[in-house]
Amino acid sequence: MTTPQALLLSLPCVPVAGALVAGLLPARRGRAIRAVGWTASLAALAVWVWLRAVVEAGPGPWVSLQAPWVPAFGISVHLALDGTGVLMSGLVAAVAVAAAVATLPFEPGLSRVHVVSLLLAEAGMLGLVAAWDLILFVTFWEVTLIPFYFLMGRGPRAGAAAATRFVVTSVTSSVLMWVGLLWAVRLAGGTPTFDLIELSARLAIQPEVPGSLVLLLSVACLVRMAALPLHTWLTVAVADVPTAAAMLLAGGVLPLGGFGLVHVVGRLCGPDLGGVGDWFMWLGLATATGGGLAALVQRDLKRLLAFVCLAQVGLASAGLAMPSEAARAGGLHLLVAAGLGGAALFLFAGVVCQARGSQRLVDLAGLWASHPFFAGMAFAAVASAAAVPGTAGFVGAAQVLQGTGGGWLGVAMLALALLCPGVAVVWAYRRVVGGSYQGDVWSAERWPRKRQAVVLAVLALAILATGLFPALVSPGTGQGSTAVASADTRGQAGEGTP
Amino acid sequence: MGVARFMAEAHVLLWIVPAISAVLLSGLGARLGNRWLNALALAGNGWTCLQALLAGVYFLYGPADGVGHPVIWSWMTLEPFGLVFNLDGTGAWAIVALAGVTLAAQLHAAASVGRLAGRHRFAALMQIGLASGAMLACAGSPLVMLVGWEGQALAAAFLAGFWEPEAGGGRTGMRWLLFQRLSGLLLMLGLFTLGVEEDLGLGLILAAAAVRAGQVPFHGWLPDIGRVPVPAGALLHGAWSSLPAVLLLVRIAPWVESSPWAVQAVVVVGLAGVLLGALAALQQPVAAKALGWLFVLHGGLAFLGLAFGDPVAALLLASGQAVALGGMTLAAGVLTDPLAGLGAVLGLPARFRGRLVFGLVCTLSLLPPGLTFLGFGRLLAAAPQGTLGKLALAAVLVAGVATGWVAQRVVRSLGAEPADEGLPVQRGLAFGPWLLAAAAPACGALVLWLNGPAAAGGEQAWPLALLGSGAALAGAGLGWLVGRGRRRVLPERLAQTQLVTQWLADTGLGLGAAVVQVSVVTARALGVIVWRVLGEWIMDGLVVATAYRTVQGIGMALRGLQNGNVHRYMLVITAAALGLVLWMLR
Repeated sequence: MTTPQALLLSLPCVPVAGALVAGLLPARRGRAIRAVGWTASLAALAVWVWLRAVVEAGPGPWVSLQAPWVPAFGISVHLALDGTGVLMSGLVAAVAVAAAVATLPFEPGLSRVHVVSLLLAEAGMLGLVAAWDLILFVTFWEVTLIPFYFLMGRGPRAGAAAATRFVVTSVTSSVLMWVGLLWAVRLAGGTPTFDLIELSARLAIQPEVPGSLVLLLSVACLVRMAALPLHTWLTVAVADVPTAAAMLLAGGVLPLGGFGLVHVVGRLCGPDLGGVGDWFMWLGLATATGGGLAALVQRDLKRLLAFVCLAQVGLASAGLAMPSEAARAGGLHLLVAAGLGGAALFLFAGVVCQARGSQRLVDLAGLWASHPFFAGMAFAAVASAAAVPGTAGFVGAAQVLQGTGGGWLGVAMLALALLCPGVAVVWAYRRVVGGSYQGDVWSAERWPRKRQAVVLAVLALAILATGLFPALVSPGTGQGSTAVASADTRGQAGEGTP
Repeated sequence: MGVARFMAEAHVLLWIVPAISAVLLSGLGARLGNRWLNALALAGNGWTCLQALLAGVYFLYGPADGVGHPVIWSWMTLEPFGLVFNLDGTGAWAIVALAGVTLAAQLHAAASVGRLAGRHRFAALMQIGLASGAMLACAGSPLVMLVGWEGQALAAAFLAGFWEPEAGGGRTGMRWLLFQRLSGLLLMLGLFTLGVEEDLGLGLILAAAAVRAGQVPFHGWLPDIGRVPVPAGALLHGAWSSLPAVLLLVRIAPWVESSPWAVQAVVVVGLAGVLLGALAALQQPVAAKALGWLFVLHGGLAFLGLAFGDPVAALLLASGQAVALGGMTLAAGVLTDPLAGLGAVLGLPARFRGRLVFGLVCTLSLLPPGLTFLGFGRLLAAAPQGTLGKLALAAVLVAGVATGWVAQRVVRSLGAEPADEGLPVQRGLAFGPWLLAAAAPACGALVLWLNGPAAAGGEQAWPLALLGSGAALAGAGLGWLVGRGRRRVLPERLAQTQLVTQWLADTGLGLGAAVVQVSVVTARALGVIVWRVLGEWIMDGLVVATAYRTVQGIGMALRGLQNGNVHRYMLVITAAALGLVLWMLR
C-alpha cells in the first residue's frame, strides 16, 4: 500500500477512531471528550492536507484503493479521489474542524453522544466522497443519517422533530437511490458489478439511458440538496438544531447532495444527465429563485439563512446540470462557496442567537458596537452569499452565468436568484450588527469566545481566498468534472485504477 | 516629473492607502482621540487626491504627450477573473473629483459626528467607499470593476443607515442597497454578455449606469435622500453615484458610439432626467428633496454629453455635479442636519456662513470657470446640428434656470427657519463646503490653464456656455422675484402652472416609488407563496401529511386486525350491508 493509499484509507478512519476513543471515555470526563473531538477532526484535516500534498493531479482518480468485499455480487471496497473528490473531502474536513473547534467547548450540556455523533457524521461524509463502489456509496449515504439524528436531536427547540423529519426525508432519498442503482446494474447487463467505473463504462455503450433512471437517481440527490419543492426539511432542521449540526448540514450535507449529482448521476448517465439536464437546470434555477424570494419574507435569522443557503445550492445544481464546462465548474465552485459560507453563517447565527436567547431578527441588534471583529468576519460569508465580487460566491455565480443557455428567462431567473438572497442576507446582517448596543440584554458570559471568532476569521479567509484566487479550486475540479462528465474519459479513469 | 511618473506608475496606492486607512480606523479608531482619528482619515483622502492629481499631470505632460498613458499592474491574470489595474488620465481625473468630495465630507463628519460612538467606523466606511471608487477608476478587468462598483454601493448603504438602521436613513440605505444590488447584477450580466451578444450586454450596462445615477425611472431612492447623515448625503449626491456611472459609460463609449439605438437610448434617458429633474426640483419645499432632483437633472446632462460623443463633457459635468451638489448638501446640512442632537449648528453665525457657502458653491460651479460651466461648453460644442443641438441648448438653459431658482429658494427657506441662538457654534462644519466652493472654480481654472479654451469646447462654444450661466443667474433672480411677489405677480396663472408642474413631479416621484413598491410587493408575495403555500401548505400539509396519514391509517387497520377489533367492525358492517340489501330487495 502506497502512502497516498494509506492516507486515503485513513481519511474516514481517523474520525471513526476518534469516535471510538470518545465513546470509551467515561461520560463525566467532558473535557477529555471534547479534546478528543476536536483533535480527531483536526487530525482528519491534517490527513487531507498531507494527501493533497502527495497526490498528483490527473484526468482520472488521483488516488485509488480497491479490495474485494463480496465478489459473487461484484461488490468491492473501492475508495478513490479525483479532483472533485479531493475538493469536497477538503471542504467536509474543514467544515467539521470548524464545527468541532468552534462549538464543542461551548455546547451547553455537552454529552458524549454529541461528540461521537459529530465524528461519525464526518467519517460518513468523508467515506461518501471517497466511495467508488455504489454499494459502499449508498452505505455511507445512509450511515451518515444515524449520527446526524443524534446530533440534531438535542436542539434548543424542536430538535427531535427536526431530526425525525431529516431522517425520514433522507431515508426516502436512500430508497430512491437504491432502486435507481439496482436498475442501473440490471440495465448494464453482464456479470453484476457495482463498481462505478465499470458500470459507467457499460452504460456508456447503451444506446440510451432511460429518463426514469436519471429521475430516480437525481431526485435522491436533489432531496439531499433540498431542491424545490423538497426543501421543507432544511428550513426546519437548521432552525431548530444545535450549531454544530447546522454547520455540518449547510457545509457538508447540502454540498454533498450536489456531489452525488456529479459523482453518480453524471458518471452513470453522461454529461447531459441522460438528456434531461435542461429540466434539472430549470429546477435548480427555480430553487435558487424561490429560496431567495422566501428569504426576503423571513423574520427568523436561522430560517432566513437556511433559505439563502438553499438559493446558493440551487444555483449550484443549475450550474451542474448545464451542458457548458464553465457552468459545471461554476456549480462546483458554488458548492464550495455554499459549504464554507453556510458553515460561517450558521456559526455566526448560532453564537448570536445563543447569546441573545432569541432567533427573531427584531431581538438582535448592536453586535457591531460590542464585537466588531466577530461582526466584520461574518461579513465575508454575507458577501459571498450575496455574490459580491472578490468572494467565492461571486466566482461560482459568474461562471454559471457564463454557461447559461436559458435565454432571456434563464438570465432573468439567474438575476433574481442572485438579487433576492443577496438583499435578504445583507438586510439581516445589517439588522444584527447595526443599531444600538443592547448591553443589558446580551449576556456577557455567552458572548463569542476568541476561539469562535478565530474560526470565523479562518472561514472568512477561505471564502476570500477562493474568491480572489479561483485557481485554488478551479483546476483540480475542472479536470475532475471533465473526467466525470465525459464518457470518453471514463476509459482513461478505468486505466488509472490499480 | 519624476515624482509625477512614480505616482502614475504606483497607481495601486490610490486604493491601497485608503484601504489601509480604513483598516486602521476600524481597528484602532476607538482608542484614538479625535485629532488623531481625523488625521488618519484625512491622510487617506489627502494622499489619494494628491497622487491622482500628480498622476494626471504626468498623463498630460508625460512621454505619451497628452494622450492617456496606461500603466498596467497585473497581479493575477486568470481570465475572466484577473485582477488587472490600469490608470489613465480619465481615471485620474475621476479619482481627483471623488477624493476631493470625500475629503470635504470627511471634514464635515469630523465636526458633525465627531462626538458620537462609532464615528471611527463611519470614517472607515467612507475610506472603503473611496478605495472602491479608486479601484473602479483603475479597473483593467471586469472583476476589478465589479469589486469597485459593489464595494462603493455597499459602503454607501451602510453609511446611510449608520445610526438609524431601521428608520430614516436606514430605509433610504435599504432602498439604495436594493437598487444598487440590481445595478451590480446588471453590470455583471452586461460585462459577461458583452462579448457574446453585444446589444444585450450594452443594454444591461446602460441600465446598470442609469440605476446607479438615479436616472428615470430608477430614481426611487431619491425622495428619502435627505434623511441620511449629511456627509453620506453629500457623497450620494454625485461623487458615489453619478460619477461612477459616467465613468462606466466613458469606459464603454466606443460600444455606445457604434450602436445607434444605444445613443438614442442615452439621449432619451438624459433628456428625461433633465426635464423631470427640473420640474420636480422647482416644486420641492424641502431643501434636501430639491437637491435630490437637481442630482437627477445634472446626471441627465452628463448622459447627454456621452450621447453626443464627448466623454470629456460627460466627465466634466459629472465632476461639476459631484462638487456642486456635494458642497450644497454640506452647506445646507450645516443648518438642517437630519440627525437631531448631534451637535448640528443652528446659531446665527453658522447660518450666515451656510447661506453664503451655499450660494457660492452653486454659482461658482455654473459661472466661469466652474466645472459645470466648462461642461456646458463642451456639451454644446459636441451637440450635433439640428433638433438635437436645439434640445441640448434647451437642456442647458433649463438646467441653469432650475439650479439658480432652487439655490435661491433653498437659501430663502434656510433663512426662514426659526433661530436657536442658544446652541453653541460647532467649529469646522463649514470647512467642507468652503473647500468645495473653492474647488469648483479652481479645478475649472486649472483645466483651462492646462488645456486652453478647447477644454470648454472652443471659443465658439463660450457664448453658449455663458448662456447657461446667465440662465442660472436669471433663474435665481426670477425665483427671488416670484418668491417676493408671489401674491402680486400673475397669481392665477402661476398657480395653474404650479399645479401642472406639481402633477408632473408627483408623477415622476410616483413612478420611482412604484418601481420600488411593485418590485418589493411582488417579491414578497412570491416569497410567501414559496414559503407558505408551496412549502408549508402543499408539501408539508398535503403531501407529507397525506403520506403520513396513509401510513398511519394502514398501521391502525393492521393493529385493529391484530387486536381482533376489526372482526367486530366487520360483523357490524356485514350485518348493515345485509340489512341494506334486504331492504332494497323488499
